[in-house]
Amino acid sequence: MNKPSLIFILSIVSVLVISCTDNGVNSTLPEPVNAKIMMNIPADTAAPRGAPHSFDYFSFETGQLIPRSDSNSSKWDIGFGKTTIILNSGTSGPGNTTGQLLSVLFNEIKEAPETGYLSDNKPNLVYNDWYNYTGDSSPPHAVIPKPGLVLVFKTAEGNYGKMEILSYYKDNPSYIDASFINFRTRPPSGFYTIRYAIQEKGSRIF
Amino acid sequence: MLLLNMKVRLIYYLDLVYLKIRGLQSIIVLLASLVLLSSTLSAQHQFGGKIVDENNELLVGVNIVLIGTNAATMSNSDGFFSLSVDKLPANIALAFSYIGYKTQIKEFTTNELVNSTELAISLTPSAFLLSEMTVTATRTRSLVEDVPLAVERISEEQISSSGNIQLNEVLAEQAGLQIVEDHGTGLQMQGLSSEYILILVDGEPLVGRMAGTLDLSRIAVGDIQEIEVIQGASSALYGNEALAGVVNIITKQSDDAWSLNLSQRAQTHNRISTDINASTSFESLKLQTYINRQSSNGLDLNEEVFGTTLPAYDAYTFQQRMAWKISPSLELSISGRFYTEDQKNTAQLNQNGELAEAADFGRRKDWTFNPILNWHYNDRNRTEFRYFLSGYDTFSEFRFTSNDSVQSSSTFNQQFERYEVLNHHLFTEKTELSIGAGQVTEQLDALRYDGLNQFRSNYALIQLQMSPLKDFRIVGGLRYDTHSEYQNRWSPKFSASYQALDRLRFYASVGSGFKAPDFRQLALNFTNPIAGYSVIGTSKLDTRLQQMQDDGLISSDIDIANLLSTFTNELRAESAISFNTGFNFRPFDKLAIGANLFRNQIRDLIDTFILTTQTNQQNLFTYRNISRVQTQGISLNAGYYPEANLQFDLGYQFLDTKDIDVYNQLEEGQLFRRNPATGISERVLTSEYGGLFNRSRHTASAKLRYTYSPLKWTFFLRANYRGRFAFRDVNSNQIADVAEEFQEGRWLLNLSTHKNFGNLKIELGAINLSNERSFQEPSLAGRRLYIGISYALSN
Repeated sequence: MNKPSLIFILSIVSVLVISCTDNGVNSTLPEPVNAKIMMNIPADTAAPRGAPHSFDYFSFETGQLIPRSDSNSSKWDIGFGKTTIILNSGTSGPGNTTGQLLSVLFNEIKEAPETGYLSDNKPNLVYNDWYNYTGDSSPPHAVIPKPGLVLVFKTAEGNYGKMEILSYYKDNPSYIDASFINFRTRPPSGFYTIRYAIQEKGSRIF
Repeated sequence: MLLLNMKVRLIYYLDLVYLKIRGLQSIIVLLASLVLLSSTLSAQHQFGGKIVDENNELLVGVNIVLIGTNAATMSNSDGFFSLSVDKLPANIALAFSYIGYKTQIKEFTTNELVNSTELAISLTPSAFLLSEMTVTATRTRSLVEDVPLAVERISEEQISSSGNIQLNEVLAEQAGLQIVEDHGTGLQMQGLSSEYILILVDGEPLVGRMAGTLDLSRIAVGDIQEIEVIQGASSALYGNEALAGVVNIITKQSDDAWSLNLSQRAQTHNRISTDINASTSFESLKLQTYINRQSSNGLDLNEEVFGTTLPAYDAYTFQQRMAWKISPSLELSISGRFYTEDQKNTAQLNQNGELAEAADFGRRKDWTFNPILNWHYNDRNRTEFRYFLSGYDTFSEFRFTSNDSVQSSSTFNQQFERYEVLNHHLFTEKTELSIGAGQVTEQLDALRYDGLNQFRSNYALIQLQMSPLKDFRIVGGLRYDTHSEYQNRWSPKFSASYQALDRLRFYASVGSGFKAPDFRQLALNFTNPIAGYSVIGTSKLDTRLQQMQDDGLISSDIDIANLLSTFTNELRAESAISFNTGFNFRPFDKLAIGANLFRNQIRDLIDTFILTTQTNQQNLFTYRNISRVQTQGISLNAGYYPEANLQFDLGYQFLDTKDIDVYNQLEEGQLFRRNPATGISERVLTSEYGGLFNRSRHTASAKLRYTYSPLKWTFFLRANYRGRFAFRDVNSNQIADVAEEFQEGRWLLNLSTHKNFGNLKIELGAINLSNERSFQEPSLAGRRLYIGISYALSN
């Protein structure tokens, strides 16, 4: 992908800028992390409307989808089942991925909070109330992620990360396009596009 | 002469009840001279005098009424009057009224009056161009100039010469009032939406709202005598819903021996309206009947969307009123209304996985029954006993065209019953105390609401009107409402006016208003069959949650008592404090101007929130008091009547609205939007906030009415401006903050003309001359031409 390489160059530049400032702690700073985009994470798209659904799983650590056969493991961090999102902890999974929702812009989180990470317990899942349903307004009957809502998580390995949902529709379509507004031509739902970053060195600095 | 063609009014003050007669001056002069002629034959008492203005100039055409009798006359072209009567009442008082002057009521002793021909009366100008009455501001019949509030009146003349056939069309032409389409055609006043405005017909509420909106297209205007609009919270007098203000529709009551009025209008889109008004009156009995039929073939503005934008409809209104004067002190009136409307449309619905055409049929009915007994048990006391029963029923059904099978149907039956006793005690001419109490029972039987829901409310109210000092007028009121389902509340209101100069009056009022939680918020029990989420009203929340848990719909891990303890599940009424202040000024005889500054602060607005998650992973919503809103602004008006046959009116309103919690979030940098193309979040700046949806910062209206007297040809041109307003959210933050979310401002031009040929009136006009169209406003469906004919007979 081209975009990450640009971000990569920018981050190199910013590292250089930070390195040039002499505040005595820069030598201990880990490298800033790159934001990655993962498109089209399925969310049990096969389940019929209204029927009970399963989850599809993703690992922030590996950046890979995890097969459902591994659902009872700590290999995955986050699960998607239609509009329900679970973290691998508490009543949702055997793992220890905890998190909290912050009302802030993704890029503004320079440092993960030290405390406040919650296990995922029913009925109050960590990643709850994350979208607006448009109802009769335009685009009609669409699920649009609430803006400025970022999940900050801590994986079982103790790595901190942040994540924002960009879209619930396949290929992250523009939702002011006529083809999206008309729900007969709208791309299928249940395909999450997320933007996330993970600091693999155990630091809270992004 | 200025007055010859002007409508004048005689005000009879009859045992504290004013009855009004309207008519052409010539008829009144004729009647008055007949009265005079017949009475001189047997007259025992004669008196007269002259009437002058503040500069000692003689006034011509002043109405003089001997209070408590039918004796009335008018000052002649020299400014003199004389009156003869058989018998004088115990308390002798004469009322003098003249356009643009304060009505003066003067008491006399028998000796002062009888055979005196040199009574000298001096009238002082009023801040108002017209000497008008209001029944809505204080629930007593008062002169507008005696009420320390802004009262707007829309006259029958204005309504009938506008060519409009529905109430929404009439109100849309008033400065400061806005019509908004949202689950029906509702009114917006001072930036507050339909659910916060009480609409009355002859003092009784119109019942039947959908998602809070009272659809004004249900009200035909053919029998309206006048419409009074009081802006600002008025719950001290009216209780529930009178939060933004009150609109009172006063229907016609003729004093003629009999009258008949037939009229027919046809508009573009095959919209046809037929009116029949008939009345008859005997010595002590008056009967009034109104029938209206309206129909339209519907209209399709958007070919791409299946079905018509405005459905075809066929509606009937029947209204009846009887007034019976049982004895000089006792009057019974009984009125009733029945309305029924059928709507037809087509829709595309899912039939076995395929989209199939279905017929969409809707029927709604409303009806009222309203007996009122008025007892004037002595000179100073009057008691009203009122009973009001009203119902609103809807039925809707989708039926597949291919096999005539019913896809879905729903019903909604609502009933409203009220008993009320209201006593008015008159201490002096201008000091009146009103005390009343009542009980309201509302019930609802509908799909989506479990079983029959019944709510009860009791209330008591008190109001004092007085003039503590010369030139000061105050009205204070207080009402207490108890309710079976939500917290009890007090609603005070205080208003005062100061007559600074003869032609200048200042007023101010502060009042509280409330809107009770509605049926949805209390009793809804709804699960979306497709998405699976549920919405539960608060009134039986605990038992319904328990039921859902027993049915396995919510997890057995949930401690219901604990869940309910996390919020106050007894809803409070949504409430407002409103301030209004302004002035009325008449710098010249033919010019009147006014301004009203207002601010409404509404708190405890009720909204849904997620209580918990169901076992199907969908949310369970209920209601709570959540948000605060503020609206403020200024409205200006000017009326210029250079000649009797030429009227010019201008109005403007500036409006500023905001959701206080949204505004606080913006200030804290906690409000974001999603870039629709990339999906990336961005922060919204305070300066980008566009206020509440559907509110225009600027609105204006201009009206020009001219009658070419030799041909009796009237032209009525109206221009209405609705400024830029936000109408949708495109970036998923549910506030208006980017250009795509706004609709640009637009002007609407309406022109009507009519010409009288004796009893016959022919009218012709164009609504929306410049052919404006908008998908957002179905009523803005391009130019509509109309033609009408009406025939009036009376005796």
